[in-house]
Amino acid sequence: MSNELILSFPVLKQDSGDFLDSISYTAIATQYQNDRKLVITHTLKGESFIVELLKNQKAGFSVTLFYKDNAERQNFICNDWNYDEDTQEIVAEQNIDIDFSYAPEITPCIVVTGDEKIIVNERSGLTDFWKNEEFDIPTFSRIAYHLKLQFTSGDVSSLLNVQCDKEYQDGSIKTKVMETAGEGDQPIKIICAQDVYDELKKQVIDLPYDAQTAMRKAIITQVLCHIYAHMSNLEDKKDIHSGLLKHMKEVFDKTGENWEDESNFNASFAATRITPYAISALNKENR
Amino acid sequence: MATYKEIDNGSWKSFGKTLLSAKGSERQIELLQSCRDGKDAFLQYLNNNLLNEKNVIATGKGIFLDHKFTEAEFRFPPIDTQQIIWDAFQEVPRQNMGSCGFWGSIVIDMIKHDCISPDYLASNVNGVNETGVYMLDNAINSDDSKKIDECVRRILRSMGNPEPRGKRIIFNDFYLGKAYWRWNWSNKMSNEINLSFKEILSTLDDKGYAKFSEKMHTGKSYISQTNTFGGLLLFMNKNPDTLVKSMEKIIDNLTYLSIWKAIEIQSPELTQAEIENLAANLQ
Repeated sequence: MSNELILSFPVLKQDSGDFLDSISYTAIATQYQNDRKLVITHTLKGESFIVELLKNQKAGFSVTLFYKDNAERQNFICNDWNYDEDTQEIVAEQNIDIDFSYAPEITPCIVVTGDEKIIVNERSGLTDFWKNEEFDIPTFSRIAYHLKLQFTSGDVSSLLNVQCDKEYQDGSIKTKVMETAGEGDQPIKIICAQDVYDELKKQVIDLPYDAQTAMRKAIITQVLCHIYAHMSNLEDKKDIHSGLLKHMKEVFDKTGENWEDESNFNASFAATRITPYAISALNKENR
Repeated sequence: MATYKEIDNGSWKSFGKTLLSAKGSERQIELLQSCRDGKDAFLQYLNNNLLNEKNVIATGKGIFLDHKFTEAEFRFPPIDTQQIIWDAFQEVPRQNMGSCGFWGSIVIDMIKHDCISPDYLASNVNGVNETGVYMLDNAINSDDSKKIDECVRRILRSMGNPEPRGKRIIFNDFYLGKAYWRWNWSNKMSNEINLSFKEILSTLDDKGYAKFSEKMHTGKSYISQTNTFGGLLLFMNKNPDTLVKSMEKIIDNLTYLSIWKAIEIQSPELTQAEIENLAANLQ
């Protein structure tokens, strides 16, 4: 969404300055991969004209799902919610079936369903900028946004899928980076021999204290080195898996290695400096 | 969800990447020569350089496109061939139909079963007499590394390999995929708006489909919303001449509008009216 768009009505979003600090709109998404369900929870806090519009069925919660690989977009409206008088919270929950094996990008918002005129009063939830104002909101205007929701944190452990191949010779590891993997998929696949797999299941610590712990750290460093070298050589570093993008930022923040400067990017150095190595969340069915 | 046989997408992409790493290289010539030498040589090449690797083929249900194509038909499937393609993949989930690895596996099986000859993959879509054999001979005997590289890219695109243009190749460039997705959109949208399957198919002719699919797989993917795309199709059906003139600007404006207005939830008819206004203001 552009930040430069100037509208004649207030919009509730992060740092917009239109609403009092006590007013907020948030949305969270939970994906249950086993039964291919997505649960979106919208929460609107504080007294505002948006609450009144929702109560009068003149606005609704909306969520758009975008399955990037197929350019498929789906939209779901929710007019069913619960209001808690004590906390002044409206909470709406949407249960949505997922049509693909990868998770979509999720864009939640609140939309007015008809032309509305608002006369600002003390219960409108607006800052002094809007005091005594009147404004019109056209049909289908988005009056509250939450940032696009994505599933991966960018932590390296959330990006890895580790599989054991019992036919691999001891010590063998194969690493593949699928930078254009779908949202919700793990874009880094590690296939390894049984002995390596057994080590990867154990905790890797920052400061090794014996040969075994040093070996575990070395395995991860080797894998990360391969991954970073691959990422560094990508021509297009923008249109890739959002988790990898976040991880690339993390690498830059922690190591100072600049992805934009390919010729000087030191994959080995970055791999030795990035922590933590906790791969405890390996291949969980429910993430 | 049933799983379908496909090439592992990471391996498929790496295969393309390795081939395109150096223009005019021995590796590129080797691919072209195997393609020129016919089915056995080409399959041998694929075995040696891709398929023999462990875990490259994700096993699952196989779909066989049982139709012997002519070269021209493979490049520009006519309407009855499009019907054959559509029918063959009816049961396959959309996710697979958008997968480069799935289509790569389909094309290799088509070569195995003599449905196409490998040289078809090198046909030049822009030339009337530029058959695959002609293009291959031209490239193999050339010192021009760019010409060799272009021929390799054409082969990869014809197999649905993502390296030359990314995953969107399946929707935009790859002949069989384009045919399938055009029919898929027409089928889906005929259930959403007041136009028949045939009317939409005709509105989404080659030029129309190319225009929309290009946008859908870039930052303008907003138009793939059912209601929004429905409005565009209703408008296009009524104003077929607008495509060339101002469709691109209309789509840009719609995308801009969508920043503050949830046009995805308004009916296709209202979107059509909105587009009429946009188009009028563009003139």
